[in-house]
Amino acid sequence: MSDGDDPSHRIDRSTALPTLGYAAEVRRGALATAPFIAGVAPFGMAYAVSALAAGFSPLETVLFSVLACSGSAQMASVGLAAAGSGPVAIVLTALGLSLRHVLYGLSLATWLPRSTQPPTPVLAATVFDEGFGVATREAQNGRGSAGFLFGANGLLYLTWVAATVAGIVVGQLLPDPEAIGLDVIFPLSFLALLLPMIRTGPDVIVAVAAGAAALILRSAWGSGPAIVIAIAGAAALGAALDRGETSP
Amino acid sequence: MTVSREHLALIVVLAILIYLTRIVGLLLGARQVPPVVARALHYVPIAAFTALIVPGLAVPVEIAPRLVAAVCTGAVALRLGKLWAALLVGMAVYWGLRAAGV
Repeated sequence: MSDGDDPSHRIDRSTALPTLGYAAEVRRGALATAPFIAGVAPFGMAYAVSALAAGFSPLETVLFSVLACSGSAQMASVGLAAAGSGPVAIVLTALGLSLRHVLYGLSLATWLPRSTQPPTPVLAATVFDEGFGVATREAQNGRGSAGFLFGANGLLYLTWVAATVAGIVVGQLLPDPEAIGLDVIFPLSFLALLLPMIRTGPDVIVAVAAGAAALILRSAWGSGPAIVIAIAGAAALGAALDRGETSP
Repeated sequence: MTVSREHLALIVVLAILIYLTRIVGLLLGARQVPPVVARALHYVPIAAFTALIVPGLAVPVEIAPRLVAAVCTGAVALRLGKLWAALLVGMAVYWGLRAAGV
């Protein structure tokens, strides 16, 4: 066995259970990310309020969400614009915050079929951490599909765009979600997705290493690069540990 | 309903770059990768979520309510396997502790 050394938790394309029809898979994926609307919607509205305050017109604010839907990168961009940062600083920061999506794509490609419905260019149109998480969990349980992934990310995309519009209209009336601590819903969401994935000793070590690295590197390198380096470094550590455990 | 050239250029550049970060992994990963890379990719979800969780919980001014809420969320997630229940309990505990001044 080349890379399927621990059959208990590794995802194998060939043994995946047959999935439902495409429409049913999309619906199942959307249902799986529905609980996350509670966090995504208020912050979509808060993004719109920040964008307007940073001098973006309502049309630009919506266009940004439609074309480059990305919670953290959009938030950071309008925050930097409001603080008077130039376009180069904004682009580099947003790119840093999006780089982890390269790793998500590589990870998803380990179990997605070669040819998917919807096709890869459509699947790549929108990626949320939560969508990646529920689709990965589903694949680990042998029920992953491109339709599920698309439904999971698609619902959050529609939520974010709708929340942007709502934020332009009524955002001023609402409290700042960060001021009431609603931002804690994101680490709590990720924790609920993470814990069932941790099954082996190397899993625990990788988790501890990634968390510590992200925390330590953040002050020096900023949040985006710190997260990418932490993920790549901890995953490499996992590969090294795995080899030690499974070699004869 | 206006669109300035500067803002439009910024949005389009970001849209293209962000799209590239999302498609490049899917395209590269669809090829056969060496076994050591495949093993590393297995750990990406675990590493990614911990790297997102820890800085979000370790907020110096109110680390206690966040950690307690995290423990409760984790317990419900593992016991019931229901995301919405885990989030409901976690947020209730967090806001309860905040209201109590913890």
